[in-house]
Amino acid sequence: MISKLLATIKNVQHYYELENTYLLYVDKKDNLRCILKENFKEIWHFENVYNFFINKEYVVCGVVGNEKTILLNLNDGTKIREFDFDLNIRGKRTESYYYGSTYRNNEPVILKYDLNKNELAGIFPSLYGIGTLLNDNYYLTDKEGKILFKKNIENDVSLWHFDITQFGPYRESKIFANQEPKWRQREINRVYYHNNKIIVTLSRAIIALNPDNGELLWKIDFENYDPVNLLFDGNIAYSGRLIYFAIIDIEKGIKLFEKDFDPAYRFEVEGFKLSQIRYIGLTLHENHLWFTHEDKGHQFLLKANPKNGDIINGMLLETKLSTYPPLFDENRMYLLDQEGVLWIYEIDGND
Amino acid sequence: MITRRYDAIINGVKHEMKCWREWQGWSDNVICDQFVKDLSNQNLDKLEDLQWVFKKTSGITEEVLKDKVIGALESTAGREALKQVPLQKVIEFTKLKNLSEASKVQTLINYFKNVDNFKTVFKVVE
Repeated sequence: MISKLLATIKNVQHYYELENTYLLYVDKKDNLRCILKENFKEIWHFENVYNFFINKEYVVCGVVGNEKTILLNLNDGTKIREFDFDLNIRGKRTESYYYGSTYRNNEPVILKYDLNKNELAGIFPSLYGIGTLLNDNYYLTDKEGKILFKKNIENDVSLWHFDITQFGPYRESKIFANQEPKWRQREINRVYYHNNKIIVTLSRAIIALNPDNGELLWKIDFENYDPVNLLFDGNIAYSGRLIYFAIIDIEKGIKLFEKDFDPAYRFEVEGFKLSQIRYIGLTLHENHLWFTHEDKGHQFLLKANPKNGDIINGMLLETKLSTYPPLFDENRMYLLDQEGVLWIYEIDGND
Repeated sequence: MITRRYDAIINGVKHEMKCWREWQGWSDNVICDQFVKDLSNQNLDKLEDLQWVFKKTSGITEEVLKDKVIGALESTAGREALKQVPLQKVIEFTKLKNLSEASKVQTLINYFKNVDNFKTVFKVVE
């Protein structure tokens, strides 16, 4: 279904970014490499980088081993500026600012970086760091996965909090015949801000909160599984979790579809009969869900019907290791595996 | 390249079953290699989805297992292996947001030192 393997790039360190012309990644020897997407030729590289992000015609990089951030020219890799702070380049961004949650002088802080001026815009205290950014004034964070707070970026003051322990504990699924399942406290899995609602996945439920006051808007319960990651498509969210798959309407707060494990189900891909399909790392592309699935030491790319999760097509992948979710860009699909090999495929026009 | 195959997948959850009479010289390597590789698995959304189940023997009890696993993770080889766990995974597992590449290894070790967190993954059964 994906026609041709175009290239493999080895020793990628967990992360890569694409823009119109270039592909950038940090290799396992801490070199930031910029290659042409067209023919995979290297344009430049820069040493001692642990992570980065592209900001228009610049690249903002964290430097290995010292608390410095540098600004490079995207087109030629020349150093433009060096900053005396470590932005912690796993932060959150809006159109105008990047927010890095980090420590400075042993105090937990948020560093606010101006993406237009390419300079530090502020340092603010933050006990827990940013979980989910609402805008340039407020963010969401949680304490030990139990209490969700809305906080002011500039002073760490809480505007409201929502305690999920109010929903009570839940009972684990039974696994061992000679052991009764335990009761566990619920915990927050992921927090999203979508369509002006805060959507929270937690043990055995998904809830929506009003961002203004933290009021509970709706709650959808799940008897058998814990929703974790959501994939949004307008008013719809897809929840893939292990062998479960569900579709919810986030405006109405209702479950539209739920698929439980069918032990009799088999789907054959290139001679392999797959069972226990695990809906993990879902990506939406051209009205279908795509994800990779591991079975019997092999990896498969699967394409599913978004209305019911049924597998439509599949292909055996060259990698035998788990992968990050597939990334589709123009006529290509990028798959980064666990050991840092980036597999680049050309997409067949029929898909 | 070493791939990981599990002893059982129950309701989609991977179970690694071990029946060790005692902690051997090579046991540290199993933790540094297999377990750390499991932590880096991109298909692991939550630590509950990974279950290392040990049969209780004269040499493997809950206390012994925790001491030995933490010891393996704290070793030079363990710390080096833990560097390979993506930062984003560490943030998701520990629920701590203000982590950096520099702090993630010690954070993971501290996380598993908590007995409840340890038992999330490691079980000793009769």
